[in-house]
Amino acid sequence: MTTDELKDAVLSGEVVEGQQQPSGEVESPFLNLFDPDAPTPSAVSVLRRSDMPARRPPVQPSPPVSPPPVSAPPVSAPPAVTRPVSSPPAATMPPASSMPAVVPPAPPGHRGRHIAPPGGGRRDAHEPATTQTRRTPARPAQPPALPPAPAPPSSRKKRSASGPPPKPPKSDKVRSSAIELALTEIAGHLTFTAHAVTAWYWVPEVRWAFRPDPEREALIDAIAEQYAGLAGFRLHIRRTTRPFPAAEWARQVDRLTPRPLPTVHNAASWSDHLVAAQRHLVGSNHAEGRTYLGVTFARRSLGDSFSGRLLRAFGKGSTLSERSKLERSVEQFDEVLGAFGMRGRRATAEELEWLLYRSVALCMDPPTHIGAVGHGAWEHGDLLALTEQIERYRAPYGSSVKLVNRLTGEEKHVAVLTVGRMEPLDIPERHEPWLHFHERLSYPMELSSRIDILGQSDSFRNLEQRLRMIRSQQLDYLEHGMDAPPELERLAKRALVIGDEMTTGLPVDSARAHGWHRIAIAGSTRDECLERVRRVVQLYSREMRIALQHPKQQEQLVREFIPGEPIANSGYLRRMPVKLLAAALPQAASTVGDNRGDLIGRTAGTSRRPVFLDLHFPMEVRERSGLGVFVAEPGGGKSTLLGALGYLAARRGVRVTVVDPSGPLARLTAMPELRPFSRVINLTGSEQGTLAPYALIPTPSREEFPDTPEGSREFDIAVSNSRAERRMLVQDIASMLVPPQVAREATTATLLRHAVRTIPAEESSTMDDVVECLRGLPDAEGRELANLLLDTAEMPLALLFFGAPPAGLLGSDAALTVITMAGLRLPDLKIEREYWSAEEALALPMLHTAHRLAVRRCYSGDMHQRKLVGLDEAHFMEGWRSGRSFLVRLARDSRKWNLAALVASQNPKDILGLDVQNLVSTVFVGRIAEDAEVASEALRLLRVPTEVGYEAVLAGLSAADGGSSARLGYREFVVRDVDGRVQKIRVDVSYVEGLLDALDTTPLGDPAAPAKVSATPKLVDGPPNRGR
Amino acid sequence: MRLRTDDDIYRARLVYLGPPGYTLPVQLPYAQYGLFIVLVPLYMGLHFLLTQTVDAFPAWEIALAMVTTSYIFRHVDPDRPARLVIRTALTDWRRSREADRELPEPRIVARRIVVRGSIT
Repeated sequence: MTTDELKDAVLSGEVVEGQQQPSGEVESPFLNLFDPDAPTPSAVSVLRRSDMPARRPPVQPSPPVSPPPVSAPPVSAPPAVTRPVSSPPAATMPPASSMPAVVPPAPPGHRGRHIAPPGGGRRDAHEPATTQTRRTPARPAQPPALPPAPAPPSSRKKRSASGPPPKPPKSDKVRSSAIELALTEIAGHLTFTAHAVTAWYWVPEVRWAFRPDPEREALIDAIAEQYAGLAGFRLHIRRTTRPFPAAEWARQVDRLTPRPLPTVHNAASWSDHLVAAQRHLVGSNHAEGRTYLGVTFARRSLGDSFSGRLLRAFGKGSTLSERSKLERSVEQFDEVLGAFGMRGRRATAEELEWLLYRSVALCMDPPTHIGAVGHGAWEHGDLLALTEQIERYRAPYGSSVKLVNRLTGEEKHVAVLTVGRMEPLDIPERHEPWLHFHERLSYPMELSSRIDILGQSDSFRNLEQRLRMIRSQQLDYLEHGMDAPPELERLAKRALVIGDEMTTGLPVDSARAHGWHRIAIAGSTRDECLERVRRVVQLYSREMRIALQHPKQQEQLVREFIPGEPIANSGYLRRMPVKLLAAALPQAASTVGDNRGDLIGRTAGTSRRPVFLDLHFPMEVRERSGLGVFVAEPGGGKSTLLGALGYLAARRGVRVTVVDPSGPLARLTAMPELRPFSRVINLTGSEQGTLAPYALIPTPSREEFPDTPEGSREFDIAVSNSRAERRMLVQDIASMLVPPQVAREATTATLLRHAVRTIPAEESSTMDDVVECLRGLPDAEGRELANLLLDTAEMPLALLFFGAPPAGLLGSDAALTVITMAGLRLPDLKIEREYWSAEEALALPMLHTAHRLAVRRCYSGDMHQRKLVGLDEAHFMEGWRSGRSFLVRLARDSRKWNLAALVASQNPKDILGLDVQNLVSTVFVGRIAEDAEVASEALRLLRVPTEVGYEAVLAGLSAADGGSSARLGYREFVVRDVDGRVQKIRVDVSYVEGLLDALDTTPLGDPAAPAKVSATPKLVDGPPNRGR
Repeated sequence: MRLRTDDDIYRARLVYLGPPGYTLPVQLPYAQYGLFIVLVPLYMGLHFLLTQTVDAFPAWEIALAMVTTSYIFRHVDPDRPARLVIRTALTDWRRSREADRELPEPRIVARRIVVRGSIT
């Protein structure tokens, strides 16, 4: 179930008006509120106030129909309008061809507006569109508040089952005249106006955040060269937004989940889960920015433009010969713009229509059905016909423009700012790209820049003239015997230097970009719009020292956003070298994650985009290892994220095993949708032998390797590797079990080595065999060591290591298994081992073996089935040989066994010390504020340059507001995904009902804490949070 | 990289100091003189229209032209050329009566645009 269908029903408030009555029967404010034609009370839909007509006609005798709420552009004025006239061919494009034919008879009381052409055009436009949406096939719904043609009573009687009467005109005397765009044609990626042709290119987004400075500079240089290659042309850079296609994402996730967890009665099912995620996505209003670059060149010969004009009268556009000529000459731009830097590609006609529509309906909510690419069959020109519906108003005192969409009743106030005085910028050292900087605010804004690129000779001539004027002014001062202001000398020197650069340097140094740069900001009310304007102006002036001006003539400025329209005014012309224009980088973006995983949150740097993570993506698609590393200080949110990822994976049918020593992730198993499929293994209450070390290392089976001689050899190597690992593990566990002073002696190591050498290193051996072997040795130290081991065996927890594992432990059939050690205190690694208590000393080997137990459970069953294992507190493995080998094996086997391993640690040093760093595909770094060494190592793990200030970013993650005492409702991480993209994200899994409550790991100190704490007091089981 | 615009070169203030040998007490930008030269005949024409006479020495016109020029150039800066200021003044006067409520503008429609999937 996708949001398309859902949206129709629930998410929009759109409503259909029932039939109307001819004028003036009963006047009551309440009459207009409900649909009188609904057959049952439950089908009553409420009209929006703004859409109501002045007077409501009575119910028509035509068959009533329960009006489904329609969110797609409802089919417009009924065929009744066009029936008296020869109906144009249904649903054909362009609307232009149908336009001249549709002239309904002027109805009585018609108030002299241009009703017919919009009505007819719209009808054509919507017929194909709404066939896809849910609507009653018999009767098209009447759109509210449209300027329809009120059909004369005669045509009403003629009407059959299709077609209600059109609405009477509104009572307020709004004259909605219409003017045409300067753009006359769109052909492929070219747009034509009367005098010029523009070739449009889509510029994909580039990473900017967390990239080393040399890479950023190289990018800016490359883009500057591309701009310099376009010398002599006029450019139009447009940045607009597109709503995130949530339905498409949901479809993909569904397709990639062949076996989701079966539905549990009374709990949310898989489709409910997807729907909730889509709702969350749609509600968070994520918008993808799209950047387009148009290169304009003067058009045609006289003959071409004349014949073009002639053909236009017949609605045919430009001639084929002209377009073929253009096709060849336009290829040069492909080369220039397709190179490294911008990597532009030709825009499609659909994208240009989209751009045009978004430019006319500036900053309004985009038509949502376009957001899902490939949905429905929008014909050419459908979208453009929607521009009919946008009405424009000039605000009082001219500070903004109000745009009203008559279809949806939406109202937006748009103000356009223009870039004024710019101080020198240090990009990328200190400043962000200056046309990307505004995206750190949460509301979408649109950009439009019109730039002339001057080549070397033009810009030199321009500069030279200016220089001459300055010099002559200086001479003047000299002649009059006055002191010239020093500014003149400085400017003259500057002009000389620039002139020198221009004549002797590379083209990229000499090209200049003279242009106007505009930002459009919108709000739902005028005050909101002006408030946002104020914020943006303040932001720019404070951080970038760029003055944004709010000029008059807002209507012309808003029109300038539309491709093809003239430039608004000649003031605020900025002249800059192309490098500064390249450093504007409106296409900088911040996506992270793949697009096919579960929704875990959104990016928190500039621009908010949803973050999806599929932990099996690195293995299945990118063919890298599946090891993911979490690093954060206690309280950094590691457990919450681990739990959330485990839940989401379990939902998708992945076998999840999580080791959570001290946190309450066991509560996840209590969630209703997981309870029948999950299991908690509490090590403190387990049977003897659960953690028997020999059994924890799996023996590879012959089937895992190919049936070739090389496969046999690999098999043999793998078997001997596993034996070696077992020996190492047993040695380490034994060292942990005996007192540290004894463990440090050289004889102990020798004896243990002897013991493991003697005992066959197979899964069936046990620690008891080790003890037996030691006791059987002739020398006294051996017997003493055996006695020491037996002493520890007196503690009930140590019995877990001795004996054989109980049956059924190592298989894994549950969807979610949580291994906990309830009541166990983890030791503090900074204290020497001698000072640990007996319980803490036991916790160390338990943790080591618990990790291996979790992984061991994944080595059974189908190799290709997806598995996930989450290991918390992995930093305890630091300093132990077996720990390192364990991680290496995990990373290597993760691809073979389709096992995604998440290793959470407070100190990444050990992981970095190995080659494991190359085997890590995903890195999550949480808040690290205390330890600078850990911070720099975490940055190295992220492959982000250290010592340039990113440590402050890590310290500022999840920064609680010092003033408020409410708990922080989210956690932030810096994430590096498998493709090397790094970005700061905010984890947000609030769309899953009950998940945050289950993961709520902070002690309930304050019952009045907001939102995340449930109303009823919960029993906090498990230990208080330690070492998390 | 340190990146800066070229605009300050274009913002240099170019003033007319006076004929060679004599420095005017007041230095004004060249543009103001130009506007002044244009305004004086304009006011003389206005005067002619109202009272069908032409003064030999148009003192009032010169004074009015000086005042208007200085008023216009008070609002002019390198980013806002004089013609823009004049245009704003004229249009604002015309619409200033209705400035306190919103006015509808013509809709911009893309009705007659021919859309093709590819160039040829």
